[in-house]
Amino acid sequence: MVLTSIPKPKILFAGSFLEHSALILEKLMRAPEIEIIGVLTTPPQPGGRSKILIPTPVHQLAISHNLPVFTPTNLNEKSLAEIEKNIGRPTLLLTAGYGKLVPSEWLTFPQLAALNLHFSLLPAYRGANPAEWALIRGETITGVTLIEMSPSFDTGKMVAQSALPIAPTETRETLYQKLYQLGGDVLPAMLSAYVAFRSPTDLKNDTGYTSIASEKGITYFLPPLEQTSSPTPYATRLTREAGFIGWTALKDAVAGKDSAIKDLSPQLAEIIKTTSLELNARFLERTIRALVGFPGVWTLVTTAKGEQRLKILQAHLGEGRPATTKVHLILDTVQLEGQTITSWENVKNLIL
Amino acid sequence: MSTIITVPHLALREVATPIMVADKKTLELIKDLDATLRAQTKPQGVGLAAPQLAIGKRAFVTFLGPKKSHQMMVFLNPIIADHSQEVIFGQTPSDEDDRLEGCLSIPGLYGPVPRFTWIEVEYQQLENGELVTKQNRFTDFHARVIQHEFDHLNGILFTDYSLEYDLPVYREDPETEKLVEIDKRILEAF
Repeated sequence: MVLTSIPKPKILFAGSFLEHSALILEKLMRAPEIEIIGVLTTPPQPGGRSKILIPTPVHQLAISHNLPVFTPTNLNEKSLAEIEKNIGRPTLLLTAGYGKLVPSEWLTFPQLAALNLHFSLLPAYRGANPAEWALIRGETITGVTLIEMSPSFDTGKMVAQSALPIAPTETRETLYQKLYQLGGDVLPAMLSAYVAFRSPTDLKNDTGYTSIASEKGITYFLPPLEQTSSPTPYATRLTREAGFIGWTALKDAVAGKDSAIKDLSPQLAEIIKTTSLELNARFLERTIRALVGFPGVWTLVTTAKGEQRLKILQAHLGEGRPATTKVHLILDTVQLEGQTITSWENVKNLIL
Repeated sequence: MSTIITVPHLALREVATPIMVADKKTLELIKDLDATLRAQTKPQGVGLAAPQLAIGKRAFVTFLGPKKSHQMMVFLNPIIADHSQEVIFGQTPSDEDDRLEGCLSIPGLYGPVPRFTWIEVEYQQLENGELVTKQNRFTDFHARVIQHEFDHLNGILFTDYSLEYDLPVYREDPETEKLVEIDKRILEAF
């Protein structure tokens, strides 16, 4: 008997993270090794001043390629039945920035497996904001990890991994851009390797150990490897309030001093505490880069109009002054409540 | 290493005879099946039976396993002692797509074949110059390969099922690698 060619894996893609998830979908649609048979994304959200419902970029891309799109609000049996009725059972469900936890009843829906691309080198930085946490904590390397989905977030067995250096000027936006780009580039090979491994021609499990092999910048763990405990704190989802830093701490950093007053959001305070970091210019400069766009670093300053919110959009580090060996923070672009984005120089004299 | 014979050939239609002794000829046959199957790459062979080398003996080998570490398994005088009630066209019961079988003695043709999902096989192997009886349960793809090779020992080809159950048979277009359904009347000549 001969081995017939394995049919192309049919993939149900799930992603909602702005243009980033759409970038991955675009690369997957062009990959000859796989076939996208449907797309799962969050329902259109009201946006802009007119509050009209705007579909996610993934949604828009899928429609333009005549792919079936599903936007369930709840992932339950009913929404699953709807998908099955339309496209049947996919070989794989692949999530990349989908944002919702896929319930356990859904994990057995694909013929082979439900996989998730996570944007860190697991087991480091499990959680919803892995790139932000890696930036704040000053990592110089991160990456993407393909895992088998488990009933809890980011704890499934690892299938493959690919690393990416973090540049000193990286922001969360540039880092996510690069991570999703990398994800789109490595996923076709990772998915093919996984499907080939899981194909019934392979008498898997007879060795009992995981072989780890690297090829073209991808490290494969096959059979999939159980994660060890995480060497980093959990990268909890950053809330809108998470970007608050007290004005005293910022003033101290501008002066090149460590701030003794730990006046900052509970989430940032937690990061400082668990990582034994100093609240200083380096930490704040990284945090500004890590949170730009969302939730953004902001503080409260007193002006002639009373207490006002000041957003810090951009800053950089200055060399140590003659009087101190410490580096200091130089604020570049800011936005005062109710005003347009401007340079720090234009605003600093308004602060009392 | 030997040449694999192809249809039409009478040796593929005869019922093979049991191996009675663990002699040098038996050892040579096993070595020959092993070497011939290992050498078969395009398409990759996963099973080979003695009648395919025009040797009318009840012996076959299977060659499966994880990528690049396939394992050769020898079956002498096999008997299917028990099997599932259910038959499937896919490779596992949860596999909803039909997977196609192909045969080294019927180059270029592929078709769906119903097979038992699991089988209990009693067979012999050569150990220290003796025939030793073993029994094992096989599932999924390995069960399928064994059933295909077992049929060879009784002069049965996978295309017999295509005719009996009126199942499609495809030919691979060498240019486009696409499968094209063929007129099944040609199979009657096999």
